[in-house]
Amino acid sequence: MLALDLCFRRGDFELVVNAQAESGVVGVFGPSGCGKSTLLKLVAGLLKPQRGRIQVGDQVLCDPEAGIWVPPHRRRIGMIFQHARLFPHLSVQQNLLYGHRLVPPDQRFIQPDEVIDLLELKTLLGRQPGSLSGGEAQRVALGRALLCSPRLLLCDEPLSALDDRRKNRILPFLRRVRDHFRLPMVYVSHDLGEILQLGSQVWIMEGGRLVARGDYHGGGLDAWLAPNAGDHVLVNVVEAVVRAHQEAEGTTELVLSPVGEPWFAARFEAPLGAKVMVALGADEIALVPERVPVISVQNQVQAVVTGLVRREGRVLCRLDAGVPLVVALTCRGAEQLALSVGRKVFCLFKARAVNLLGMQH
Amino acid sequence: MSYEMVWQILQISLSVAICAVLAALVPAVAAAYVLARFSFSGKSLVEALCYAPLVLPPVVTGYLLLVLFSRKGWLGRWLADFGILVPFTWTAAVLAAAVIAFPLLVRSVRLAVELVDPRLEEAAAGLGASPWRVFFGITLPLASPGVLTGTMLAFARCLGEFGATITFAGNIQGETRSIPLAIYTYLQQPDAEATVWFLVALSLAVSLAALWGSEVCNRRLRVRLGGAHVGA
Repeated sequence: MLALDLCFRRGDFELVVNAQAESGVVGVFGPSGCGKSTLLKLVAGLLKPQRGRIQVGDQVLCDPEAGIWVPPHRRRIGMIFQHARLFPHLSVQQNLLYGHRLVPPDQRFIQPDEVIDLLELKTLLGRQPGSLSGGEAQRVALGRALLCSPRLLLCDEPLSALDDRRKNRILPFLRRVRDHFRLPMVYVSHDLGEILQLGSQVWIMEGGRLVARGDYHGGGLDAWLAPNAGDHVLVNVVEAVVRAHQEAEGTTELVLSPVGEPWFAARFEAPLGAKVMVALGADEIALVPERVPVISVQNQVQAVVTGLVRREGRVLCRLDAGVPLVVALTCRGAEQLALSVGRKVFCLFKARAVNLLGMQH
Repeated sequence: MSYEMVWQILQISLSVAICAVLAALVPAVAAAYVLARFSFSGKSLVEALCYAPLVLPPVVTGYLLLVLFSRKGWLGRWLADFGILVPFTWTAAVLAAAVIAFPLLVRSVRLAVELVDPRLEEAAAGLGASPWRVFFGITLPLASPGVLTGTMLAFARCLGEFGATITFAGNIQGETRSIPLAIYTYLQQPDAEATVWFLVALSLAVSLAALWGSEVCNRRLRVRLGGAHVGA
């Protein structure tokens, strides 16, 4: 769907990327300044590479050597940014239809009613962008990008200007877009948890280079993940169903899979049976060889080691606990436990470490 | 002074100012946009040329126009082939005022364009808008308060134009004698103080009306733009 082989230089910064992405969501992860936003701008045509090729579907958008350059307004690539960038002199409705009107009718595969329903925009249509909250504005921006019936949707840190509560409200909309329109998406973020809520295909960028790419759960990224396992970036994102609330203990009971053990999270407001996404940091999990009979930690989940990667004094341990989990350990800890693939362990983690990310509507 | 004469002077003043502003508007907006959004070699030279009439004595600007458009001048020679003679006509008064007002327009519009968030233009391009559509649909509407301010400033400057006009267009009654030139003329005559005062009052009235009109327009524009220039 997307094939890149390009080189872009500006001042001291150099970006070199050679990669292909299939359909679905590709998350691009990296620290700020690593070039991930630049990469999106190159794909969108807002920047010109010095050399290289960009191909979306079967159309080559840019190839300086062959003299090919498709300007941004002919690329049919939707983009949402950190800020909504709504046009302040147009109403929400006019903003939404801005790109839609420029698409020839026979090429429109996304219709306004569909988007307005899906993103719950009906009540906002008559308003001016200046009167919207950050989250509402971002929803309108998402709708506006979708309505130009793009063949690819680029998201450049669309949630980073929002607070956690608002973030968690927008992500379900992005998941809906992913499932409803089946649009290929490239999602750039410095928050791995955000990316994992949308998909597990991840590209990791550092200093203008793609240093790793692959499936987060498949082990393709482990060579990069293991040495960085202690930096709070590694996270487990899992889907669960709310089974019960324990008012006295202040916990909420979650079911992850029909067979696995329940998890307990710090009490949050959600109707019973609600589908939720929760995050659990990879360094919040402790491993023990046997079940601990009496302990204050609420969660003791049985798991089997499926993979171990050692790098630079760090161990990345992959587990199957009904759902795939990653755990970050020190080498010493791993040795003391005598971890090996196939070994049965118990994961300990506090209810407080299980964070609600968002609720499916 | 007869009623007809007052009407004639007022008509010349207004027609020259309006036509001069209209003539300068399109090139000024184009120059302002280029100066605000692009960098190229020789930009400071273009900038200096645009702003020159602002710093030159108007008499000098008028003289340069006279040289340029005289029968032997660069442009005048070419125009003479078509039987067109510009100096000392109503057209010359319009041209002189337009050149004097041009830098004021460029300055205001440029500042306004620079305040328009280029990220909004990027967003519009990403939504499929061609550069022309982005300019007319996004940049220009968002810069419109600046365009309006510049237009009013230029209009007021044209109404007051004296030096370049008298040099290039002369002080011809019924052709180029605007309010300032009429005031100057009557100041030279004995016992015309009452006429001078009348013309001064007329000048004040026209200028204040223009100022009030621009304030009303500006307020309406700002309400329509939601008071915001940046995409929140």
